[in-house]
Amino acid sequence: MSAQQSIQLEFSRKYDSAHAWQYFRKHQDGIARRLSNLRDQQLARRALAIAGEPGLVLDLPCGAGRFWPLLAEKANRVILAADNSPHMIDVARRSQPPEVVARVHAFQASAFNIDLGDAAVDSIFCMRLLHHIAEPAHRLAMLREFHRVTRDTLIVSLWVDGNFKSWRRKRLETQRAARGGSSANQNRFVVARSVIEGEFAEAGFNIIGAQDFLPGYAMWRVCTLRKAS
Amino acid sequence: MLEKQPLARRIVLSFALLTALTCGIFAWGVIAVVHLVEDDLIGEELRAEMAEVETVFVKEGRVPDLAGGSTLYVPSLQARALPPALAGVHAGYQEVTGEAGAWYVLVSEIAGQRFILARNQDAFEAREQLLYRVVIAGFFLAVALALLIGRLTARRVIDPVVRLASQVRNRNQLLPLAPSLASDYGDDELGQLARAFDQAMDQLRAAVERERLFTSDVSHELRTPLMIIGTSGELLARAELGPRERRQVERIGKAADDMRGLVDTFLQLARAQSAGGNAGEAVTLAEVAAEQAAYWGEEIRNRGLAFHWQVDGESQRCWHPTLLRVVMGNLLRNALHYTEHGEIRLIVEADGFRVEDTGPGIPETERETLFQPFVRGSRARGEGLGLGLSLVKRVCEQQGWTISASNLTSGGSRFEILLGQ
Repeated sequence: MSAQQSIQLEFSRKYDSAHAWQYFRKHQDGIARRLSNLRDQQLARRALAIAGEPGLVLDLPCGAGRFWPLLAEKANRVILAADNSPHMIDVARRSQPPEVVARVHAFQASAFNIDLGDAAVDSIFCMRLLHHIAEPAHRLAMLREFHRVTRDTLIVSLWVDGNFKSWRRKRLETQRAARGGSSANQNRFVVARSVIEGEFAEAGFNIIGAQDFLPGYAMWRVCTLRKAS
Repeated sequence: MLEKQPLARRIVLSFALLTALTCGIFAWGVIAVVHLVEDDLIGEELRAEMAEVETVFVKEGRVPDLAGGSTLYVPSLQARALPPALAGVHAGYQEVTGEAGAWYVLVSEIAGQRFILARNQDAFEAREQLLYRVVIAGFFLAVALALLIGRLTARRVIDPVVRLASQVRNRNQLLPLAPSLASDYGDDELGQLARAFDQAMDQLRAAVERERLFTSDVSHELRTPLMIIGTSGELLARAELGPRERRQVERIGKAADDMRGLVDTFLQLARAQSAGGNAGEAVTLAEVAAEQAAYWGEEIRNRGLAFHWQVDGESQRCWHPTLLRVVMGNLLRNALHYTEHGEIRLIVEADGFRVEDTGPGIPETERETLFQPFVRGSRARGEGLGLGLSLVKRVCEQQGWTISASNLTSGGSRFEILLGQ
């Protein structure tokens, strides 16, 4: 476990208090953002239904608690929430409705080293984290940790290829590289479907459902995985 | 799925068996009735034809030509040869089968002549075959359908049971948080089962909580009197005492110290359970080893044994101080209790440590009971309740450490603790 402890990713350092509030507001302004947020919620709801409405869910990373009200829709669900940044948890606690916050047990944890026993939760709900991780070894380490902590299912969202946006992104990147521009702002990554599916299988998960945000156009995909028995 | 779940298999089998039985009876009935009806109908038809032939023959004195599918043979009046299969017919209605096919035959005596009316079954047989085929196909279709529906039903019944079982299986992990199960299931038998599990879980939760409170309360309440015994002993030791009294006072002081250590451990175990293994201060393995080696090294040398300790590998990983102290201290005390002469070694590695001695080793018969409470080895010396190793075992289980005991080839025993990968 000591090897996993050392995994600290660059993008996770930016979530200080100010950034956390910014992140909370990010999903509130503008019609497009609101619509996209609604679609996100819809996908999450479906993924939870595919996972069989788990009763004990770990929301990791919980961010500003954007999905807490959704998770709390099921009356007897126990929600654990963890984030690598204590500021994020703090913002989530203050920004979300108090009756929802009262039902969430939040704690600080890295996705590479979750302070829970084996098979401790029914499902891990991991939104918008995987696309920040470029290194396959890191992804695998994280998936393995998820495999240890979850009893049954894992819900992840990530960026996949095979759609218009990823094609355009690739083209822009090659243009930028041709112009000699730097790729310094690289903290989000597209993974090929076959690659990530192979990694899921290697970590010991079967895919039981996959939904695209906007099929053929957007890169976002929500996968529901079940532990292979 | 079928191979894995006998219950599902049983449901599917009973579905298939029931269908096969019902369909089989129906199919048999259909075939029998068709046969019977065919027999009756054709017999009646032949009789009517024969009656007509009789009327014509008696009134007009000639053998009529028949328009239907039947053939009339009158061997005594006609030149037409009788097929060999019909040679042996007797009077009345019968079914005859020969090489050339099967016939329904009606034989009558009219005015002394023998009239044989025969109808070939070939055309009818073809229709019968078709009927049989339909019936058999229907039978197999019904069984296949039954298998399918049985499988679906079995899944509908079994899947929630499997789900409930897996939900219950890991509930002990986060017992205080575990959500209630009953609301996931309807108001049927499964719902009742889920409610029963919920109740059992609540009771378990209460019991665990009571035990934890009891241990921590008792441990806490015992600390003060133990402290008083200890300090009183120390004060008493300062007074003028004879050598015998002094020895007794020293024994009291030592016993009080040991007891305080035990109470501390129990308190820590109870606290660690409730706090999820969260330690306040933390120490590295090497620090604890140095401290324990200083204390136990003196004790061991006082008994005339050699003590040797070394650090083979170091790690900066921190551990629960009291619990680690308890484990190491108890293993060293245990080694001291069982070693008459020779040496005791403490070897620290990066991910654990081991204690070796030159005592008699662990007899095969005692290996099973080694870690049970209140069990003392047959060759133990000194005082002790036999709690040490069982306590070590409990701490290890609670902290996720592994302990193993073995005999050294050179004689003596070795206890090895692995603190984690």
